[in-house]
Amino acid sequence: MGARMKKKYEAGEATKYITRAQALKKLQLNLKDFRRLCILKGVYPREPNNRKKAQKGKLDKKTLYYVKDIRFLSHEPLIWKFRDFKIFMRKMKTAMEKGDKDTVARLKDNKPSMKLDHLVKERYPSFLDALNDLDDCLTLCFFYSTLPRDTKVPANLISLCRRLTVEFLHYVIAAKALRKVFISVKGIYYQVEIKGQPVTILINHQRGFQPTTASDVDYRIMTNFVDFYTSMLGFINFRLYHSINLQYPPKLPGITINENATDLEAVEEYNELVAALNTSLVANVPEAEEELQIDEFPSADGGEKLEEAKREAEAIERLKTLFKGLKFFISREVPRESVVFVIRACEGEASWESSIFAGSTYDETDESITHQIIDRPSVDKQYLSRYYIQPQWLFDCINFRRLLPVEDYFVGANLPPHISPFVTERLGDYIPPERQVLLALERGETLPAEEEEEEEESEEDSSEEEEEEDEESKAKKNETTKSQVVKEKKGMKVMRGRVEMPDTKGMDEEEKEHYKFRELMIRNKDKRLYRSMMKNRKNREREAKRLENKRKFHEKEEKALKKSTSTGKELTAKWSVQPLSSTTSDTQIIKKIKKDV
Amino acid sequence: MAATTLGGKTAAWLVNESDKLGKKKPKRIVKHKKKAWRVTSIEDVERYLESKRLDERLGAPFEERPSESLFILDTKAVTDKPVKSEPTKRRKIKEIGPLRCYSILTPSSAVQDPLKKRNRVRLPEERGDPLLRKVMEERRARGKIATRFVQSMKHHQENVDALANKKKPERLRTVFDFDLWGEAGDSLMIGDKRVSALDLSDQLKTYTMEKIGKRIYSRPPTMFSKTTGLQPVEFPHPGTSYNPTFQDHQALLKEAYDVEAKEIRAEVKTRRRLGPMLKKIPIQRKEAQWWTEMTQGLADEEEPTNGAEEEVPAVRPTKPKTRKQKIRAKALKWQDMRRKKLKEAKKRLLEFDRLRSIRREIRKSEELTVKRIEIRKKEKEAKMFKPAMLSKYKYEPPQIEVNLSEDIVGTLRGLKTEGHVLIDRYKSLQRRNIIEPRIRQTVNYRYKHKVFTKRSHSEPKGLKVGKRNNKEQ
Repeated sequence: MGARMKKKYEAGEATKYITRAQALKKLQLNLKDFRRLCILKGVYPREPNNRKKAQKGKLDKKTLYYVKDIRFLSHEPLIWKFRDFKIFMRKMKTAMEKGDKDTVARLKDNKPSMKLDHLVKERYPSFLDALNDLDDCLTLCFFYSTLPRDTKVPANLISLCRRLTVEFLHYVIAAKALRKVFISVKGIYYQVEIKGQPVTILINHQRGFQPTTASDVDYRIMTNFVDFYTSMLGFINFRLYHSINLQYPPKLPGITINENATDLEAVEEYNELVAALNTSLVANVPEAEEELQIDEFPSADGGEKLEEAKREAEAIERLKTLFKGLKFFISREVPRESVVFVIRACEGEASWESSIFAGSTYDETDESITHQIIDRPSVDKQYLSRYYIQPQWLFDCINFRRLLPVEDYFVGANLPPHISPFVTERLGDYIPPERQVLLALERGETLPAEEEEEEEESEEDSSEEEEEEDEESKAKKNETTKSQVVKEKKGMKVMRGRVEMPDTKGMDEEEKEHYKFRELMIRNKDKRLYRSMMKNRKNREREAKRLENKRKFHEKEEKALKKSTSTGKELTAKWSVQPLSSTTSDTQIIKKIKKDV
Repeated sequence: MAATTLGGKTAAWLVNESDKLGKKKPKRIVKHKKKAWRVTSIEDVERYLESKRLDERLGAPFEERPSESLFILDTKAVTDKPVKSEPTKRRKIKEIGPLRCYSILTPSSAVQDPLKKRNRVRLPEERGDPLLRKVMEERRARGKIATRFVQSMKHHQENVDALANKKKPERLRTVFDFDLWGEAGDSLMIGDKRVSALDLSDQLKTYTMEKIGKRIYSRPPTMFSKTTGLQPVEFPHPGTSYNPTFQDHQALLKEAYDVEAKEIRAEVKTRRRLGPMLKKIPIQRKEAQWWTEMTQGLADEEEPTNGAEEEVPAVRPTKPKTRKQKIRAKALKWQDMRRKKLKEAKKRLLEFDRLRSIRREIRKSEELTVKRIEIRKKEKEAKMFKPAMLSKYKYEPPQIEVNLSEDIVGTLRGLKTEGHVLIDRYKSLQRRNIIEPRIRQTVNYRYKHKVFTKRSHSEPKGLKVGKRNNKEQ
């Protein structure tokens, strides 16, 4: 009796995977339903470690799934729903073809529907898990909410998306959870903080619908995602509303949406939705205002981190009530949805012309308006009691977490660049001066003038200068001590007490030595990593220095240009930063390429 | 004409016949003999009867009908009706009425049903016992209505209302009225009871579920593991701002430029390499080439048949080994094996001397494995940030969205949008290994054409004709 012969592909990697065709056969589903099921259940295709083994010797690349995942799918009750639906469609088809209207009506009334609650619960066992995955969900739902009616997407799904997203925006407004905004060419990025978790959303610009070609995106697949995400977002909204003592669903105007509306009506509905953003929800219980207190623990890193955290918390508190007491009037040409949302999220008041859109709360003639947001080169009639500013001011204010001086943002003014709030600098990175101002603002309370700004720069940039200063002071001190010694030798005397300055240089040196020792103490295992880190940092610093010099040179050149041409304004009027001559070649090449394509 | 024939009475047709007879001299017929009967034409009689039947079917002849039934006095003036633009198909049919072609299907007979007591479906009022019906009617006349009837009417109305108010079935859930992650969400249906899941231990839960037949299948733990380390919504490059700083914008432009330049370089490279292969060749030469290619080996085959036919390679038949040979081979094999064994043993003995170097070797190999493990670990981590190979097709990164320097106006109003959110999402899902990259297949149905020639275009079958002609000749 010999041992049983081992066969190939009967153990290990080969038994772990199953191809898609096999899975279809096993589940007795067609490809469409299978794909849908996978998306709803969160089953993803996998890449094997060894493809040849996983595909049982076949070499062409196939889509593989885990066998266990597919086995798990086979227990899903949703499969039966799919089959029900298939039968329903078959019955409908025969009835339609026979022209049996009664049967069609009856069947339609009993159309099988799906519920995805259990899937939401299954995929996200706790609420925090769901919050982790909210970015994707919100971005897709927001996109679907802007779709026109004549796309291949069911109209009720669009309306549901609209409702849910508006409800979510209302939550953000009520909870004051907006943290960052960034207007990019693709869309507007919002960062919202929910239960300490940052959620980033991308919302497309309201510039009319740009259709995609069928080869770009499969709408059917995306609709399956949205199906799941609507269920998820609904339950998340419920929980979020209840967490801040609000009733869910909120009663908002414009949320009931006619399913078979024409395009014109749909536009009207959109306007109503924006109007809905302008109404505030009433909390059942007024929230107790809590003074923010950070517990102080003695930590190894020292008080610096703690202080930073404190400052951060303060800045966020400031941000929450940034526009409190300010009254805005929004002009026609400004994208209303984003602007209203941003204003309301920071406790501001907003209104617009009542004759054009519904939902305005006060008129343009209202004298108590503090800011009018306008996006055209000039205005005919101006009130003295208010500032006429461009919309970028709002977004920059939120990113800076304080009210910026309005002078740079006046009507027709050349706007300062809109800087991304999502960039985090590492030690030694090059930071452009505009960003430096922003950082300084975030850190300190005071708004620096230009001289202060330089100070900030120097503080931040390097400790070298400080060292130099220290050395200077040291030298002075040495002189003084020397003189003291000379004086002392003359005779015994009671001298006036002097405040002994701490030996900063000595301390510094000691610290340096300590640092060196600590460096020595690094384990051999980590030494290489450490060295590469330091090397990279040095490289970055060098690069930063180079860029800084370049910038200085560039500015100098510009100044010279301004001086040489009396009409310097024209040069910089179009855009705040002019491209350098050395880099224009690149842009030209790109242009050429684009034209060729 | 028809009217005259229809209108004719018995006398009339007799007269007509007599006229005819008058013109031609009637043949004398012996009427009491069968032979004569056969000759007699009864056409006229039949014609008469036919017309009579027609009259019965269609009603009285036109002459006898009152003119009111035939004509209408048009007293209304023709008003200009607004012409409805593009009447739908259904409306058209409604206006026209039933189509003329269907009139043949409708009963047109004016003949009364000869069977007076034919069975038919009774109207509701006619059903039931006539006596009882009479009593009921009397009661109703007195103002007494049966409560049962009233009840049933009420119920019927209620049903109708409920049906009218019934909500349209939704595709998905639209009402979210409970906390999914709270207690209500955790509850389970055991039998017909709703039980909070918090009250049940895991074992009990599975046991009950198994007994009921609805087991909860737990999600495999691999499904909870992340497929990627990438962010769902990646932070945008600062250069994509609608009003970027100079440096950021240049950096982004540089990135886009690098991508394009790389593509162009690759294209140039392929063109250079494939260039000589894709030379333009005149048609004649190509044909000549094709000819030589296709005739390859044909001429060669012919030649040897002509020249050397005898040179057939002789197949040497294998002879079986003799016993002696076999024994000898075996012995040789044994010898060889023994020699090898000895050699190995000797080598092993010698290895005692180089124990140190062996130790070194072992150490080195161990170090190598550790290093490899590290490398693999790093590779695995790096893999988390790259799109995996999930299907035949490779993931293609989307184009970098960048505004050219001249497109940047610096105001929100003049913003030129770039890129599409949906494409961005789709690509992101592919990048994060959630869906496989694929090229969309469009099914192009191509039905098989049935070919036939029209009669008018078909040639006459000349063979038969020709033959016939031949025969006639």
